Amino acid sequence: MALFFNMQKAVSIESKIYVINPQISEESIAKRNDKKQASRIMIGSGYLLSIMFFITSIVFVVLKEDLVGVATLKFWLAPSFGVLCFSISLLFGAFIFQHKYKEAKKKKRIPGYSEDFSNPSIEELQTTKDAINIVDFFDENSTGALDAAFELAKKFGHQEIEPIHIFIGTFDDSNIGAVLSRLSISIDAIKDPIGRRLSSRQIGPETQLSEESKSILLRSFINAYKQKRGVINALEFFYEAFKSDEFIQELFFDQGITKDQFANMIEWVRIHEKMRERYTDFRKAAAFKPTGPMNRSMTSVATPLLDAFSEDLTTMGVNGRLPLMVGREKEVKQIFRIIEGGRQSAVLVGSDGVGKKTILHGIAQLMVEENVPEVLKDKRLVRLSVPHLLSGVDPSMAQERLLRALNEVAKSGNIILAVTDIEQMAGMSDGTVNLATSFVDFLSRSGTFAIATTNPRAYANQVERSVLSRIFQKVDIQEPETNLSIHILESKIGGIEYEQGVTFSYKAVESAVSLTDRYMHEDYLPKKAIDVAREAAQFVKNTKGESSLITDQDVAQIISEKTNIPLTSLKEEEKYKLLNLEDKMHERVIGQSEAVSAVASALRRARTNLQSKNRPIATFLFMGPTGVGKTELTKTIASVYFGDDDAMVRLDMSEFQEVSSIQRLIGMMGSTEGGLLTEAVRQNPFTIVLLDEFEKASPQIMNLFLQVFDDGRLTDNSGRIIDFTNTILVATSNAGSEYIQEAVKRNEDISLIRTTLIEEKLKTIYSPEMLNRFDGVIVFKPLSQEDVVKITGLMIEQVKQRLLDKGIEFDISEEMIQSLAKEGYDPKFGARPLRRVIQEKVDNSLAKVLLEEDVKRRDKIIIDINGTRIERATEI
Amino acid sequence: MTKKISVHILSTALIQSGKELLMMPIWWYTSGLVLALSMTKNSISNMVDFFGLRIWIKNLFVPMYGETTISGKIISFFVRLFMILVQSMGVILLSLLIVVAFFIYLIFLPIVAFLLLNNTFGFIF
Repeated sequence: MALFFNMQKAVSIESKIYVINPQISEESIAKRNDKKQASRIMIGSGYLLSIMFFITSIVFVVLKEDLVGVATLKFWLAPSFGVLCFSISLLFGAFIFQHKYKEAKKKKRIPGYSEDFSNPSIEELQTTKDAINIVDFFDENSTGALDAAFELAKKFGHQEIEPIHIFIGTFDDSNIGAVLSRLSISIDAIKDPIGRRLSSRQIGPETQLSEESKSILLRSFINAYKQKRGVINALEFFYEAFKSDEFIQELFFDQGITKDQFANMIEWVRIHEKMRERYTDFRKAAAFKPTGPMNRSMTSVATPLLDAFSEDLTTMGVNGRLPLMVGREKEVKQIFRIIEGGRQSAVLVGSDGVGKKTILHGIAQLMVEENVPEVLKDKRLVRLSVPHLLSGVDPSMAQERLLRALNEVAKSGNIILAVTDIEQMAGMSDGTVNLATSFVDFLSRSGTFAIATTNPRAYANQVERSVLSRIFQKVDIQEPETNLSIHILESKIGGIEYEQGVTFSYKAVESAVSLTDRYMHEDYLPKKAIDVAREAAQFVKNTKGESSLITDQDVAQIISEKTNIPLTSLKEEEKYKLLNLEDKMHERVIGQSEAVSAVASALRRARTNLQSKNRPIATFLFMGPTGVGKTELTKTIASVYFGDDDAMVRLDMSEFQEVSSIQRLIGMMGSTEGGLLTEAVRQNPFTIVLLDEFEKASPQIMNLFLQVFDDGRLTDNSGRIIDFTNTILVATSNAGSEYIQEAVKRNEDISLIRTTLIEEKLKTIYSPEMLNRFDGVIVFKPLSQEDVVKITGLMIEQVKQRLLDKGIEFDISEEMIQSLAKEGYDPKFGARPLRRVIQEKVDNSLAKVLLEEDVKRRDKIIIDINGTRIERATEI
Repeated sequence: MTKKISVHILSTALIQSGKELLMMPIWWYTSGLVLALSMTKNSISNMVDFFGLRIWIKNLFVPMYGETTISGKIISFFVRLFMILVQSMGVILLSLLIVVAFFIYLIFLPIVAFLLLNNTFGFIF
């Protein structure tokens, strides 16, 4: 009989309809608060009176009565003040019991959760009086938040309670305080914009919940339902208000927090709460799980030999020595499916650090809770240590040990074996004896299961090809993607914070994941991020002291130190340097302003993080005749950007004319030694790779570089992926030099020269896709006479500097410089002969003077067109 | 204003307390009784879990310590039977305590009422 129905916003889950119908008016809030306080007073005075009367009765009995008499019926039947006090005390005890139960019963909990409900949404539904009001599920803080939102709206005379009111209303909740402080947002910083926003809301006589706000509350309910929570807390209001109000999103964006970051921060609090709940449940369950070899039904057998070569993961779980697992439900389900299928074991295949062991530990804990398929119930998970088993004995002895241990497993019947790095078993063979065969034979006969782990390379090389593949079904454990890694790290942060006494900001956690993901390719998430977070915590504790906040800059500094890549934010000095990069480079490179500015722009892009993340910082092809400054510019980049002239991997590509020389670049297959290129970049990923005379390399080698230019990665001989995204790749080439020289002589425009070069002259040397992959094909012009004079000046400066180190001044006449420049310039070789000329004409005569004459400190050597002379310093 | 509010709250608390005290006998033998019953039931069930009685009964015919010889099976059957008896005794004894506690709940209110009246007026006996 649906007499009272109307259309309203509602959520329908499993044939139940949930609506939002809050009692918010000044009176109802006041009434609720009064009731709450009255209840507190009742409980407080109940306790107080009960204890007071109890003490009085004791005192009275001790003083007035015979203590032995207490045990007699007469004592209780004869009226006395002591017994009266005692009975009043009991009455108040009963009163407290009743009142607490009634209060607890008032708090309703969201009804049970079934696994297969479809994602509920908010609809306009025809509701009846049977609909469930979700207000009943609000916890104390969320009720308070909604009241505060109402009071705020009322105070401003607003017509509606909007998301912004609810958002501000939640601020008193301790979780929200934690969210804001971890996001490094102070209320002061957002106070003014919030004030302006509030003053722009519509005024009205009666304050009501807006439709959008109703949706927020309903969505909060859906969130709580999905998370299997009994009540709706203020954090869900806070999050949903953020999601539905663009202004709030903008407000956080202004403070440097994006939607994703905000969501991850909320997830952090949820994970934290979930872990706390899970821990309590886990401890309860663990009380029933036996430790040691015996199961509850006492069917198992003691396993002394196995115990010597293994560790009992379930016992470790019961003792609370295993970390809780986060977000690996899919993989665990897959493993359970394999085991439940019968006659198959599972091998977890994943790179080191992706969390294979954590999954084993997670399964051990599920076994402690007995929250596992039937075949795993009342069993223990025992990790067999293959290195222990093999240590100090030959293969046949090792096999005997293994067989005896497995025999114990078979007899015991309550053991699930875990074998980490199972490839060690496949590797142990001397022709007649093979551990893997014995193990597989055992597993297939005994009906026991094993969960093994291995890495992808070992799986492909050893496990897949061995008998192990017959019984072990592969479960791929992928490296978790960034957001999941952040969640996993968030679950670990509590422990790290507790150990080191520091606090992590959200951005520190995020950068530990994102920076390691981007710059540390040797290791895998989430382990590398956890390691970096631990290191950062230690570092901050030592430098800033306990209870400091760890920021993203601290994490960046740790990763910078590990990788030599500058990651911390730009300081003023560095900003200035980057803005004036061209001037700085022109101190060393004369002319070639087009080349210099192209390079400088690329470096600026890289340092401000604007470059593409999957490509090298920059790739250049420097074209031009010899001796015009191509190598010099590369050296300048190394010096200016990487801090050292020699921060460069220089490869003379004329040495790589044969296809077979690929092996020199990336290492020989089967060899442990890395290649020239791959090893250098692996060890120092932040560097310049100079490929001299690139056109001379074999076409196949050029194709190899296509991939580097495109994806910023190269696989070496041992299958490692070498990251080139922090390198600058410079290829130099003399091809087309003659054309450049002639064209410059004809005064052709440089862009025209480049177009002709690319479209005509280089076609036969480089494939079009190769040319397209360079960020810049830069044409170096032949040097003019003036350029050479300037270069001469620079080189003479260097000589001057060398002499100044000895305390001797040096001067050279302008005519002499002109003459040196003239002699040192060759249209064919550019400024290359100049160094030789300066050596002959300047260095040699200086050496002669220094040897023949007695040149003292402060003396001045002068070279001019007439020869060399010394100007003696005045005596002091 | 504050004074007015606190007087209001105090009076609310007082009136509510009075109501609850008056209604206590009814609550005690309705909702309270249901609560006490479920607490008793849960405690006994936890007790059975604590002794692992269900597991032992389920495994009555499964040999202990992997002893699959005939003699092993026979010995194990009797040992299990004995253990089940011992554990059942334990469960029964502790359950008795719990049941006693439940009975105390049942007579708690009348006794308190009797003591109160008896000691206040002293005229019943």
